[in-house]
Amino acid sequence: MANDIPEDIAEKAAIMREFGRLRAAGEPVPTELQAKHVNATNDRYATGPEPGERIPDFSLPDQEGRQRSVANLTGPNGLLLVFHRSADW
Amino acid sequence: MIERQGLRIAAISYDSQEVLQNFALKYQIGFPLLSDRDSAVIRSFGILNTNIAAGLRAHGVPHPVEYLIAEDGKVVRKYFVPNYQHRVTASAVVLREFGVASDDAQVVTLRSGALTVEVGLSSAKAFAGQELGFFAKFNLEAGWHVYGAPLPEAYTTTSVSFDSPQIVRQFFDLPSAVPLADGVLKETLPVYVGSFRGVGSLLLRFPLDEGETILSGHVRFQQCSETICEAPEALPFKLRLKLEPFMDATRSMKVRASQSQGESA
Repeated sequence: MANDIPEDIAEKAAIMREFGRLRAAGEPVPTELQAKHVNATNDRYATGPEPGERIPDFSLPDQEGRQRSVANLTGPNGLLLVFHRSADW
Repeated sequence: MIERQGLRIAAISYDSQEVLQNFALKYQIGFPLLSDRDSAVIRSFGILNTNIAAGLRAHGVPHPVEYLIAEDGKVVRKYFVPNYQHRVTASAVVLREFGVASDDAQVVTLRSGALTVEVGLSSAKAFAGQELGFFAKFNLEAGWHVYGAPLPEAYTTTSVSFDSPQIVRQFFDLPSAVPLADGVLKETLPVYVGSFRGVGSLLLRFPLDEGETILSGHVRFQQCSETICEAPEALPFKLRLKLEPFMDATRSMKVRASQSQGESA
């Protein structure tokens, strides 16, 4: 359910495109559009596994191409795992 | 300061390994940046941002969540702020989990009667939109107490709160108070005695002007002994915080990369 596509995705896309166009052109973003963009992006906010639950196992390459898993990422006091949007934009 | 506590850090995004490598080099990132190119891991956590249509640049990004995970792979705590412009600071995490604040963060000491309170932020600097930690260490002389919660209306619960407009949201937690039978009033009420400590968090507004700023607030309490009850008090405090200039990290990186390739940004 958390990964379902919302019904108003086209409406949201229009808001995001307009926001992106203004930003790329270096033009000011009207406050109302800014607010709509924040709301469209943050709708149906999902936060995944709850405290006490085990996280899904994974194996992903790091910036050097080394394959990393939960086991080899975790320190003696645990792991702070940060999901973020992008390092590219 | 995270690693010093035996905690490792890792970040996951849908960026390519190449993007992450450039980013790590430019910003001297010493921890793993993991490339979840098809957002499969993001999906497996159930945190894909489904608001973003296919074809948009941000299609495939997660909702920004931070998990503190124990050695056995179980979630200990989640840090998240439901707004993509906001992030939790490392210092707030370290303060909450390990009780340690940055050495350079300002601490103020307030005194009134039998009570001494030290209040401080988790870090001396932050970016607009970040969540910072703060703490308050209380110390009461023997024979005196202040009140916890829940309380009848006439009493003042011990609290620490900020009233600066730079702060959007705040929390403050104290340990559980101990029941004390009041000899004079014939009531049993939750109280604190001796030394105790509370930890809180505050979310900074976004955007904010860079430079030095002052965050102000009040410590509220009512101190009583077995025989005397002082009037409720609100001690004001001010803490300095340096707001860092907003860096559009990735834009400058891309400009530099494209310049070196002789292309236009």
